[in-house]
Amino acid sequence: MASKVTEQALNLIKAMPRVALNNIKPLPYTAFKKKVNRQGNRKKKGRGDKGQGARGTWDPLGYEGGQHPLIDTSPRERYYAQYAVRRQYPPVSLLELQRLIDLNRVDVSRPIDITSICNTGLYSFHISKNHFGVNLTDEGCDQFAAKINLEVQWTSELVIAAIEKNGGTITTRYYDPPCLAALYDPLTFFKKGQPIPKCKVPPQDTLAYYSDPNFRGYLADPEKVLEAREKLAQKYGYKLPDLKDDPVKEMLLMRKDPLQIFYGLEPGWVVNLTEKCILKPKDEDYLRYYHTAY
Amino acid sequence: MAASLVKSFAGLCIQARNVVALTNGVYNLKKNVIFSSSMRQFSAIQIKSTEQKSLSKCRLHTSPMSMTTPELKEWREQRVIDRFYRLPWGAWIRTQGGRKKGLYKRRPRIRWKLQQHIFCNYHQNKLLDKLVTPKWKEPKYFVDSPYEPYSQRTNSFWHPNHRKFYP
Repeated sequence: MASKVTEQALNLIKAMPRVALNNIKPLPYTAFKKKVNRQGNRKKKGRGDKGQGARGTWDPLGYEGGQHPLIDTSPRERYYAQYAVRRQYPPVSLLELQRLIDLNRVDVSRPIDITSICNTGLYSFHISKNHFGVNLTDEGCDQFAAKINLEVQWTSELVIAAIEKNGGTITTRYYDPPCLAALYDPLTFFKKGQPIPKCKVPPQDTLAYYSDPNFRGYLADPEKVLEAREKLAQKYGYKLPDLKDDPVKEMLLMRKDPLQIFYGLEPGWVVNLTEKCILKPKDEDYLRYYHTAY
Repeated sequence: MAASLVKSFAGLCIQARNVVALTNGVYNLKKNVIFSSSMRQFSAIQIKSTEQKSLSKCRLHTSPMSMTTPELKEWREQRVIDRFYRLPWGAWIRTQGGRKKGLYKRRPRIRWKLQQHIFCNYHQNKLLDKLVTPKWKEPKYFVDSPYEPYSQRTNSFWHPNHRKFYP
């Protein structure tokens, strides 16, 4: 048994605050090196002899040597107008997509969406920079030969023709930034333990695009999309492959609900990674919130 | 490649109305097959109007336009991004002075010429690059931008136009 004094001392130490950066100081006998002016008695301090550098009188930034500056002479043009609210779509060309397929970076036997393109590691975007997903461009449209079910955020008519010529299907789909964050890296999102968000309706200025059958918008009438497929095949002069007798018809026609962001998972569900189960809510108010669009 | 496809098929373009009349029978067969089982019906979105409404005409700039001088003073030049546009390969474009003045007394050729947007020269490009933050030098991916054809430079040593290496 320890004596009374040791016990008291130990209690005192227990009651004292922990050693941290804010309550330590150097030991009393620590010797610091004396500060020496290594330059000796130099007067110019390495700034050269005379002139702007020695006196610190450089020209201000943007100074053009006395002539009338360009900023004053060129008139105002709002190139960057509404820069903060304009949406950006970082591009992926059809050639790059074909390369991802050839290298087995994406699985063709499943529907391809923004998650599978991001999982390749060859594409990334930043939500903080107002990036709203993939813009599929038409470079390499002649070389493209893959039968896929694709979902992108923006395309052109030529790209749609190139994909449908090979028997594939394509939809354009809008995701709001919180949904994009979940889709960009699903694992880190599921680790947070938050319910899967529901996707919002696209903003007013893109609603026309995403409900347009010519661009295969996800809010367009499916029957009008069928008509548009036929029209595009006639315009570009190719024969539309018949989806009716297709062995992978179910895969090609898989679509997400307008509120859904992951295949097979509904908004409002929670994915528990530690116990490897999915928690499905049953509360009516909860379901009403997650099953209605605003 | 893409442009040539469009050009070659431009003559084959068929009016939409004719197509519907021609192939009406085909649709009726397929209508019930497609999009019946695949879409889950747990939500219903009703779109009332798809008319485009222009965004509010406020001048919004998110990122700061300030730089620090060698003397560590903060330098602000708001006027740069109000007047100039930076292409991803480093060139700046601008408008011309006097483009709205006395147009009635100018010749048509001069009047047309004044409306063109022109490139800044080498020294002006370097000067303007110092006045903005790196954020403004990043490429912008606007889908409906009129400056997209100029976003890539060709036939230059520093900006080669050959393809990326695809294994």
